[in-house]
Amino acid sequence: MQQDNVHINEHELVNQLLAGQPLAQQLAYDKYAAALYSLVLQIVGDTDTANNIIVNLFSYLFTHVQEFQSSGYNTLFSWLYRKARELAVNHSLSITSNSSQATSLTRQNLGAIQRFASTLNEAEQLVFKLSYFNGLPLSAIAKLMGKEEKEIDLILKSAMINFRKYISTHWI
Amino acid sequence: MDLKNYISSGIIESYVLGLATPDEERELEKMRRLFPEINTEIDAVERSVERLAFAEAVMPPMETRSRVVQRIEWNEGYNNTKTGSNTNFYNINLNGDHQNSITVHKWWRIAFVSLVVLSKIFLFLAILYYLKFKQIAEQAAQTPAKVEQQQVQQSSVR
Repeated sequence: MQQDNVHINEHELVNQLLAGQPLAQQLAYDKYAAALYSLVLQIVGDTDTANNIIVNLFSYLFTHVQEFQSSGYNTLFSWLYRKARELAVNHSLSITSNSSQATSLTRQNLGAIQRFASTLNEAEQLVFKLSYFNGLPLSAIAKLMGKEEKEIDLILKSAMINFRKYISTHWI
Repeated sequence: MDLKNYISSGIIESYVLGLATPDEERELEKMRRLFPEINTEIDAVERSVERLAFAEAVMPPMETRSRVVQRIEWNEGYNNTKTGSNTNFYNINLNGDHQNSITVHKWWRIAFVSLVVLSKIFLFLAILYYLKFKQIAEQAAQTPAKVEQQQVQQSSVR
């Protein structure tokens, strides 16, 4: 790898990805794969599936990087983070729908998001986990918990307010 | 809507984590166009989540990197072939036309070749035996005529 490609800023990296530069593609993998792999592992729970999702994620990045520009995200990582979570959750949903384990919350390891979730009250914790880790829509969570969708929405909003407080005290 | 309350409602965090509904996302897009402060806030939350993710990063196995690099090289080879800058690459479409083609086990090839060879052998034998049968039939037809001819010749000699 060329030395001048190693320390390029994100804007330049995106431009090179848009141009389909193979070195930029390798650099993007080296820069982001580990952080995204950790997220995917927390959701899917097994390394083989996580490896496949990471390969698919970066293939998606290389072929759809232009979508990042219109995504509304400021950083490439945030866009990839969202995409990685989507792929992992979609995989988990297909597994759980096949094995009828829609409420399984056992796959997550103790990551930072999990540690945040453990600070929430019981209802917030359950709604947040079902939404973030299991990817269930509010309507499905409402049905599962026997509550109104609006009530679930309020619980999730409350969890997000707590998340805001949590990151302001822990990660900023 | 009060900007401070909107920002502290957790909508930005919800958006960054990918939990916002499409309606909430549309509303946020509208708000960030009206209030640049929201964009600054989104940027701050994105960077916080990025720091969080990097703090607990787990390196994927080297095999995963090799698979990604392999795909990059394939794409590079494909692009070079398209532009004609490198004619040493051939592209094989592994995702064929599923509507008009079928996939069978490789043993069917052996079975098909055996069937063709056997059919050729049987055809050859059929022609061979047909010719032999025809020859014998002709001989059999000629034999009584010859015997009669010999008898006539013998009786005329006497």
